[in-house]
Amino acid sequence: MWLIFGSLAAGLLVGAAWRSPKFSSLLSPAITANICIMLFLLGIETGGNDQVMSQAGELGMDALVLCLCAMACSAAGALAWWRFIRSDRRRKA
Amino acid sequence: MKTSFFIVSFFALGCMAGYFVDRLEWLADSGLSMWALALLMFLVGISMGRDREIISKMSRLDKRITLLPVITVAGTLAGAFVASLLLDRWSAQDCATAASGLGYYSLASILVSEYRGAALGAVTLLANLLRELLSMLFIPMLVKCCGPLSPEAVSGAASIDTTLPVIVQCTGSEFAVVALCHGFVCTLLVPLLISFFCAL
Repeated sequence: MWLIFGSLAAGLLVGAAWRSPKFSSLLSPAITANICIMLFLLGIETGGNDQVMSQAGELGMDALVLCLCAMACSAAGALAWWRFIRSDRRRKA
Repeated sequence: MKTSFFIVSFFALGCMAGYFVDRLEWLADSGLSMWALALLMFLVGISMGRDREIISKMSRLDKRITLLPVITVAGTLAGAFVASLLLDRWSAQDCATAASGLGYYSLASILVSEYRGAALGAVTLLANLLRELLSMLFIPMLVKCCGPLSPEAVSGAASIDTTLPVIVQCTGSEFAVVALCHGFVCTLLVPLLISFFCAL
């Protein structure tokens, strides 16, 4: 956890100090490339896990149903909360 | 959406490589993914630090947004209950235990395997892994139809790391702090929620 926050803090300092426009065009592709590398490594870990791969078909559908239900209800809750905050701010303004 | 599909296709490529090529196992065990994550955080930090107006944008955000982790957990548990009605094999407690991973698949699957057995552990791993991948895929669409808080809620604990760059790109840098705080609280809640549902 400290490595993650330390890297973020270091990035914030570098970003605040170094605002070259040349650099900004490279930032977004660099972030995308990094995410791709991370997901590729995660895929290697998942593909190499015999227990997961052997049960992927059988348990995968259950996991998908569970995941989609949790995601849908979380999104609905977040939408309701966002609308409540916005309407309350409008009423007070 | 196109970019998200492109990104997620790397996961599928990695799966195939990991499944068919035995010699790649060292890559997964090398700790390279942690350094890749650190580099990602560094780059996200740079993009946030370059935004001169980030402080004023953040101060304009409503403080009630900080309650978002509560909404995420409540929504996730409600979803787990709905899933238990659709899945005969698993009880509401099983579904709540697996969903309590909030996208933190590595820790959640280890804890659930330890307390509730390998089968539910595998479901926990797959469900939380899918949550991370699918949220990355659907974030651009979610922002448009469900507002700027939905990507954080859908990502769960992953909003602190892997989905953070996508959230920042789609919602703006002022929501980066919301995503970070949300991910941090969710990460802390995962072991507590899993222990609670396992002890029931």
